[in-house]
Amino acid sequence: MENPKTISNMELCGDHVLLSINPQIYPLDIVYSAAYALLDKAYIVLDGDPEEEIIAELRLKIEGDLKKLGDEFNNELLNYAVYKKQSEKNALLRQAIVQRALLTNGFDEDISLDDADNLLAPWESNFDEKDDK
Amino acid sequence: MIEFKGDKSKIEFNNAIYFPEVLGQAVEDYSSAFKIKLIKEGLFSFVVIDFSGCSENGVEITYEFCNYALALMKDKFVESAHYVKNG
Repeated sequence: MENPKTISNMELCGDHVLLSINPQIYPLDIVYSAAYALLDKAYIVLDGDPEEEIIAELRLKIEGDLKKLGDEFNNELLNYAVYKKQSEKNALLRQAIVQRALLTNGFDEDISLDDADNLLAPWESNFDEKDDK
Repeated sequence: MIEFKGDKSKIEFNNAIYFPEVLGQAVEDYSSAFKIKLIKEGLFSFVVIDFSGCSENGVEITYEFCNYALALMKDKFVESAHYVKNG
């Protein structure tokens, strides 16, 4: 076996690359999401301790650049970490928008929409009478 | 860690990363196509796949199983985590 080559958090070992992930920065749900995004191009096995250090073992499905694959995984980690952070930040606002939308639907008799094509009428009342003729 | 011996492979899964119930589901899904069994031992679970008589590549089958288990974990863990967080 080739001597492993270490680059930042990556260790290139012949046919696979090992990535060391700090769960304090990238928790397990982010690691799952990042791995999931690459499942079509790599075989991925996770190991380690979700409290101390998570190890991701990546193997390309078809020959290619392992270093590039490792870099891509790191990018995905960052991508999902940002997404999660933003999602947490916007959670209250999102909840308020959904609540507002649900409340609005609850008072539909108060809504005056321009419905020239009669699209808001129930399907049955629109078509049953025509079908009967 | 994955070991290959003849027509069999043995995969070691850390229960903290791959929940045993999810592995159970993955094994059940694979059992219609392969001889496969799940062994639970303390903090680890082992999946043994017997691909004898199978025309497909055993190594690929083994790694595909790992990917499948990971996909199930992502579906279970990430969705439920977000539901809890977002209420």
